[in-house]
Amino acid sequence: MESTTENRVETIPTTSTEDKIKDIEQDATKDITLQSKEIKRSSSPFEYQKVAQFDPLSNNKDKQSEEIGTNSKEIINEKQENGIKQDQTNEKENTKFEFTRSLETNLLSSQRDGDSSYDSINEKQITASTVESVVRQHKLSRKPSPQQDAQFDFGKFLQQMSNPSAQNIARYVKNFEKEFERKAWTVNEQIRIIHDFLDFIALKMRNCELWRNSSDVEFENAKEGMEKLVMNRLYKLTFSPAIHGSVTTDDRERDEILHQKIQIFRWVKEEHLDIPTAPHNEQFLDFAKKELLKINYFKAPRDKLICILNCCKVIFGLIRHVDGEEGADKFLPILIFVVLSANPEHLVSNVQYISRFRNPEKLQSEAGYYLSSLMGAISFIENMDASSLSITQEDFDKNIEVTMKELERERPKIPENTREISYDNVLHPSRSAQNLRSPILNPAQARALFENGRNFAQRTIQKPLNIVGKIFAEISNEANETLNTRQVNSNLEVNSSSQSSSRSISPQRPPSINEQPVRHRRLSDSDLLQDQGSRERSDSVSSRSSRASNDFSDVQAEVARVSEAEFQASLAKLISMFPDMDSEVCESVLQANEWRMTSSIDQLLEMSNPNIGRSDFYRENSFELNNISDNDNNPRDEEKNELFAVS
Amino acid sequence: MSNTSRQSTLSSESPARAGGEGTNQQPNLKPVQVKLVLLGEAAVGKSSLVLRFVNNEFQENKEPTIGAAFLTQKCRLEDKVIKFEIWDTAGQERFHSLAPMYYRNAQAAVVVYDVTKAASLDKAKSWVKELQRQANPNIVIALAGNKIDLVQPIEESEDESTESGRQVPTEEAKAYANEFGLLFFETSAKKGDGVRDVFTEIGMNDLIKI
Repeated sequence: MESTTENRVETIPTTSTEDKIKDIEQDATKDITLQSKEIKRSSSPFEYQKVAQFDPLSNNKDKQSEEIGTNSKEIINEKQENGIKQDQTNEKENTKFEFTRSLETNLLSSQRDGDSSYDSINEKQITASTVESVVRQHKLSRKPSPQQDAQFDFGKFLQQMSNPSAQNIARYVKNFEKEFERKAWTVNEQIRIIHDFLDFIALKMRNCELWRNSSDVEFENAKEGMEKLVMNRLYKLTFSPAIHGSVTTDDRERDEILHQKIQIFRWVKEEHLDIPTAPHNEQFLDFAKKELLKINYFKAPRDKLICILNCCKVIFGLIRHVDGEEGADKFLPILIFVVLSANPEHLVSNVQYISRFRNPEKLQSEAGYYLSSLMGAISFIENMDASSLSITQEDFDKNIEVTMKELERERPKIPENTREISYDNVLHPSRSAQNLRSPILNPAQARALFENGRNFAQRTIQKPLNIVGKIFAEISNEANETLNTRQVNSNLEVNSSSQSSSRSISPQRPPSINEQPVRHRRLSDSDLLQDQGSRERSDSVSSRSSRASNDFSDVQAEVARVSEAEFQASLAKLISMFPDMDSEVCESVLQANEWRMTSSIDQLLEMSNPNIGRSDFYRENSFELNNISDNDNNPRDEEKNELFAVS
Repeated sequence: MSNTSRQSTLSSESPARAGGEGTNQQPNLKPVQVKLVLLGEAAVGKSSLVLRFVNNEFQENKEPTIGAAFLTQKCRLEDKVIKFEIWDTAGQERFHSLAPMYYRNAQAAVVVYDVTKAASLDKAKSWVKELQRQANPNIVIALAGNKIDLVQPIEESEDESTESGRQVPTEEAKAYANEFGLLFFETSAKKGDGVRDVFTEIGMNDLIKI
């Protein structure tokens, strides 16, 4: 029986050391391009560290790097410089967005024609064709298991797209994107258009030289990559909370109502849903919760869906850990409980987005089941009242009342007039009359809310109070996520327009900005761009990247420190989850799994539960979890994708 | 890992009935996907029933599985290969209203009750009613009385009503099933009795289109 061996690379002596070095070189270049981006973008060394650490390719390489030791380090150092230099060059040159070109320059740096600055820097870098062959070697050098092959590799797809023979495909994508942005489509039109395009492009890709002879599995990877690429780029027009302007769905209202309702129900405990409690429930639940919360880190429907599946997988881990019989009777209450305790933002929008834009073929079977279960959980919560829970009406009322009072206390005091700024006010001034001045729920409204969870006739009376803050946050997020000229421009527009519109209603800055220091910092990042003015933008970016290169060694030291702390924290958590296990066992499992909690827990579960035949479901599929936990570095793929959105 | 080595094809009796399928006689027929939803009160053994079925059957390349709430199982019937996609539902009353999300587009349903609990048959009947009213009109419904291992197996000559612990007589349930056009089985997920028949007969049903 295969267990969690997917990532063990050391079993393959098929490639020579030289090949390995080549591989590492390859990875290093790529990593570094990512890393330098990351440094520029975020001052948090932790995020940076994650990018470096959790890149799936480099993960697979970690062991080899160790084997080769100093060699690879030198190479990496060398490439670090190259990567940064290259970045600067890119930024200076590519002031306007160009799809294919940025593809070539930013992704794995295949050689560009007739550009001397590239020639000098990319001496050691690999041309498109060698990229291919290295990738092939890379593949070979991994353990040749079918599961491995099935693993999604977005980087590889992007490499393929950077191949000159894929230029046509890239052009189609670019044109499609332009067309899509030209008009405000209804959501149903969007669904149809996007799926039609993906079908169309899949045909074109099949006929493209690059994929004509590839295996079904390989082509599947490309199709998945294309979906992710397209959706990453259309995210801001398709994911309800990211859309500026009017939307044709009630996702955002449902999000808000669900979010508030969950707040009111935050006193709900396991026993209210008849979930058996066990000593380590909390850690598992916490873990499941974290997996679910990752849903907002990703843009592509595929990745969001994986967050849900991961969450479900952890829940089954818990069920197996606590007692034997698994099934929906046990699963669904825990899922609901996890949703209640995680209270992720935009949950309805996320689920709808997945069901609208994920390849329908992939929404059948297992993924479909768990997505339906989450929809079920949402629906349950939307309609939840005393009769849905194991509680007396009396206790129920008391809990609600207490929570309402708490919530009222917790809410920051806000001057009366800012309350009038609501999303609706800004966007639909005509509707503002319906917007009663009661953004804070009172108990009676709360009652109405959970009695009529889905009755949207009610929604206008409880507009969230910090919605303007949300608009700002969205803007700043966007600004943070992208340096794309076009996007920055549009952000500036929206930014200033929303500022002016809020000013027209109230001179005060929305309070919630202060509640979100991180976003605030990011906002000022974009302010920086704004201040510099668009014509100087490219300079400002490159100056920031050179700053980044100076900070590099500091960052590295910081990374080392943070990683150690993180390791210890993970270890402590493992030990507490598996008290029967020797702490040394936990440590070595954690190390063996390259610090990934998901796979470590997988393995420990297995070890602690050897007699349950069913655990082989879990074991066999741990690759899925590994695969996903590689995505821990949330913006990694986004990052890559942006690499060629940028410039 | 239990019994995976036991290679079994469902009803391997006569490979002769291949006519309906035209020339398709090669061993690797394209599997027909059948979405099968499991309904029934909590703790009647829905999940165990499926686990028994899935664990007993041989399957190459078991597909990724997150957990036992969703399982798949391929079976070779006489002239077709069926891939069951089995959707388990939470049986607690508080989740009743979520069931439509699960049985939507299902081609088959197994409604399970516990032969030692009369109330569980009532619940099963309400599921059947709901399915016949709201689910896919061609849905194949099987009624399965589970936990027959709990009612002491008494010699066949003896009257069933003397079985200790049984609250739902076979005849009563069978009569009900006939009246409403359901397939009927009594099963023991624990011992495996009757489990395979449930899925075989569903697969053989004419409504399960090739």
